[in-house]
Amino acid sequence: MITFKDLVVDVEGKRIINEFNLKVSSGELHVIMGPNGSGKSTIANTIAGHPRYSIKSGDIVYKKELINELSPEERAAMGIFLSLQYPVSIPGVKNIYFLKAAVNSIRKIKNQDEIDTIDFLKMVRGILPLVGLDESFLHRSVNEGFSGGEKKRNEILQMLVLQPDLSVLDETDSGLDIDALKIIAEGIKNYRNDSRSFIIITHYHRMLDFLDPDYIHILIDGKIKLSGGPELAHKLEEKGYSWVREMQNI
Amino acid sequence: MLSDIRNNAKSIFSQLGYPSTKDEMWKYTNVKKFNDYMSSDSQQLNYQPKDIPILDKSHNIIICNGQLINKDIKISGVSISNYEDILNLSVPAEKFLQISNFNNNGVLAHNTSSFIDAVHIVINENEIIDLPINIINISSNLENNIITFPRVYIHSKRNSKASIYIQNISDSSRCAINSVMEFYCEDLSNLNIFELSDLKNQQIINSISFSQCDNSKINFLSTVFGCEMYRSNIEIGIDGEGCDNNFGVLMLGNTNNHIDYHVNINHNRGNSFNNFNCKSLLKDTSIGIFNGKILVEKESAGTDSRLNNNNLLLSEKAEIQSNPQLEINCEDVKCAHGSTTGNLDKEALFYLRSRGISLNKAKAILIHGFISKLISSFNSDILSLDEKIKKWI
Ligand SMILES: Nc1ncnc2c1ncn2[C@@H]1O[C@H](COP(=O)(O)OP(=O)(O)O)[C@@H](O)[C@H]1O
Ligand SMILES: [Mg+2]
Repeated sequence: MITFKDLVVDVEGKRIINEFNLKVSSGELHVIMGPNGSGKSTIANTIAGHPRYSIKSGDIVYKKELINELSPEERAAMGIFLSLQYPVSIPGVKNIYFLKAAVNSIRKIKNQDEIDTIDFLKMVRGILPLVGLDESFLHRSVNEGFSGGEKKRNEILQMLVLQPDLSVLDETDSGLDIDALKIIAEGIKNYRNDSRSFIIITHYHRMLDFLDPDYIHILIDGKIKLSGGPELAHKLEEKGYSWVREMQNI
Repeated sequence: MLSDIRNNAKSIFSQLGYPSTKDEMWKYTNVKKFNDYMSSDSQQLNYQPKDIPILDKSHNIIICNGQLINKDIKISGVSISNYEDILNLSVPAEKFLQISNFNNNGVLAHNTSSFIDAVHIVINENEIIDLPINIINISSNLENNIITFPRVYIHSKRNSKASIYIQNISDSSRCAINSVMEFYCEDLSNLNIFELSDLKNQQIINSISFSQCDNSKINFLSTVFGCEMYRSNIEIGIDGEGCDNNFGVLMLGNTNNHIDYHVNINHNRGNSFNNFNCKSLLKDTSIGIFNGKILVEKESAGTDSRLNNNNLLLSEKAEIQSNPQLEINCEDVKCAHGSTTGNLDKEALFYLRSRGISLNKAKAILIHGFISKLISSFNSDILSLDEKIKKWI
């Protein structure tokens, strides 16, 4: 699905990601954990093509195509989705309008006709219960006045509407209470299949216990320092990152 | 009587002339050249009928270079007259020429002394006018050194209700326009006013004055697609209690447009609500100016008044001068004012793009979001404002 080769990324002149290597195959769920400021969100934003993050060297190959230079909208049309750590509020733009514009923009890039409004509404209404939001959220401005948890649910709503192949979820579980966490995890789990991949960034094993991840990677100072299976998440929460640092002599 | 007023205006104008940029109120907008233009009585409508934005379901009033063109118009519940009718005393003048106070104002004095024709509209007591009154104010086929003086008086009598559209349009004449509109709103009257200016090479000073009696209600939106120089003076005189106002201004500037709104909201009596909201979108090297002031006089307890200005600069070279002010001479009032200026939110742009929305479409969505609340409180789709804005973006 996606391969990172010796990726080096600068943010505003500062080196954040240094020789990052990772391969995620179809159907796999990878988890990236790491201390604050280690570069997790930088990786996430770089995958989605945020213009502030500049790739200095290395490659990102997605579905056999080099995507280093592609715009965010081109990447979205190829099936890449990023759930933002801090979803942005957009005053004056209704959530439902935003969703529809997104669906139709992607259809346009793929040379498909615009979606029928009634079909679209039906689809979205079907998804709302899966993320625990009611219909009123469709008619509010995007994320405006949403609680932290509601913003995260709204991100997953977008994921389920847009149906990406690669979903990058940046701390989507932070700020969720245990019930909301279960709902979101359930939504992700049901969405998961053999042709869809996930990169999940998190600090906690709580959500991972529902999701059955394939690999856990520990990112420190912009580089993966340790990889392993699901047990690594528990060990980390127990022992902290200093344990990894000691083990790696860093 | 009218001639006395006009003679007085003439002598005041000859003393004052047009203001200079030394005048604090005119610091950013130079209108000295208005002194040099010449008046004209041309009413050559150099327009194809299809280019005149008449509306199907409305009463259309066409003014060309300040003169009423379609004199025969009849609207049930409304009396419409031109200046000749008023001079003949076939209709009472009412407060015509008395709402816009020209005593210290050369601009108003010049219009008052120099207009050739006027449109005088009275909405009769208890009348609810179903179809909007659509005033099309055209500047057409004029030489470069010509100035015109459109003059409109609108009087809504007790307990009446009407919607008024005012469309200011022009051909490419490089003329000047000194336009004055007066509104007199009696008790319990209700006016819905939507002004849309889409001009080109003109220099225009557009003065609008309101005088409101008890429990009158005004919903007003002024939208300007910038021209070479557009200056709007809005004077709101809240002279009664229980008034309920919602005013909106939307400036859209591109190229080297110069758009200047100057607003005075005078609470002369208490217990009224007023909301004034100005938003601007400025592209290229356009310049916007917003100068607004809420003045609450001594005997105006219970006033609730707000004044806000929000600006979105869409290019590095676009510029805004924003200055909302409060002057409160009374206790027990609620007033607020504020001003913000910014660029398109880069994080929001990325957010939209990351969902597949193209850069241009993402910009359009954010711009629309910025103004959507302002224009949605007005029934603006009749003049297809949305479409015009989409095109402009
Ligand atoms: N806009 C920015 N300008 C400068 N530095 C930034 C910017 N965004 C992130 N950084 C820096 O990059 C580093 C990694 O940030 P980030 O990827 O957000 O970390 P994480 O998500 O792992 O907490 C931090 O040191 C942070 O301060
Ligand atoms: Mg982060």
